[in-house]
Amino acid sequence: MNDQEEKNLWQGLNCLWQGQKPSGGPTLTADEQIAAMRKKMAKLHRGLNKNDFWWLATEAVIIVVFTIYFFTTPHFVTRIGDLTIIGGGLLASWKIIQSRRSTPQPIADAPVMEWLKYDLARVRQQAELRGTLMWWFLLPFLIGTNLFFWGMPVSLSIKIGPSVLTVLITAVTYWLNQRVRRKQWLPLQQELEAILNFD
Amino acid sequence: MNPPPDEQQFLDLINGNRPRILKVCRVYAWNAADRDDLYQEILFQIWRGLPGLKQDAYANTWLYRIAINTSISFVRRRAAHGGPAVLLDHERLTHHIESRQTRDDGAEEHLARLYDAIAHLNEVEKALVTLFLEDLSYEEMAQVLGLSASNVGVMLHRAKKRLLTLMQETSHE
Repeated sequence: MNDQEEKNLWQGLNCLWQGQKPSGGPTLTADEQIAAMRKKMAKLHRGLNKNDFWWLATEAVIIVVFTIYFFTTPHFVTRIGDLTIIGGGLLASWKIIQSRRSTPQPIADAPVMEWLKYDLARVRQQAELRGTLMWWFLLPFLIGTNLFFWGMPVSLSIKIGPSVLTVLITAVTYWLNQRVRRKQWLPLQQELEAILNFD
Repeated sequence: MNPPPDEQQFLDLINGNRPRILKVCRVYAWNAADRDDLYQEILFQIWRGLPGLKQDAYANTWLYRIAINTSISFVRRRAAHGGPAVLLDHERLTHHIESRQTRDDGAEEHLARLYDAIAHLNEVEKALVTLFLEDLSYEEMAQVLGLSASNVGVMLHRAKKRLLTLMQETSHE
């Protein structure tokens, strides 16, 4: 295709594009549209930091429960386990909230490239969080729960059950997270890096 | 806290730009339900951002920035919740049938092929080609994307080449 043909083709596509009469989109009256916007806005305010709230609530419950155990159980190893679980919970909460807040979302009318850079930062963060999950979440949980159970004065068979269960939970959680990282976050990271490194 | 948006200004803006917004929705969302959701999401972002719009003279590029950013987030969110980030064959077929039902003539056939090819571009290329077809100048495209006009020129040239190749491929299928 020579230059003139290409130019003509683009002119044709341009006319086609300009001439289209796109359909679809909800047909609402002006009042309904304004009401819908107000409703969404109210929902948005209610939903602010919802994820942060649930993380903190869950961790607060864990900390309260294991603090009670810490002060009521006389067994030294179990108490060390309590402390490990409490510390691990605090570390996980801090890590998640800190990572969520360290990348502020740009305003909706920011230039598209700025928006994509934010997207990339968020995707990298997710990939990193999942990649290091063992150290900041799973290992403290695994060590803490095992110390907790093994420090109790109960028979060996009762200790083995929870240990096997926690090892299984840790292994499955780790495997699932690595799978999501490999299949979802890393390809997306590469795609965004390729888009942003256009030179 | 932002002041509440001017309702009349909002309604004027969305009524005057409905076809433009719908075209962006069709570029990024591939079935009618998603397009409706995306359209409402874009309107909501316009509603939220309206108090920040300083001059009506910038409304054109401002609107495209919001529409494209919202669309990119929409696609990403959909992919993160298990939906496809790229067009699937059955969605392409649905889209094609919808297009045929809208207006069964050659123009719509060409248009469907154009949208089909655009769907295979990356997010920036999609934005560039859409803005180019919407007749925006390089300077306006640069404002929307946050790039220099010369970068826009280079990237648009590549995107157009790629789009033509994709259209040729789809016409051979």
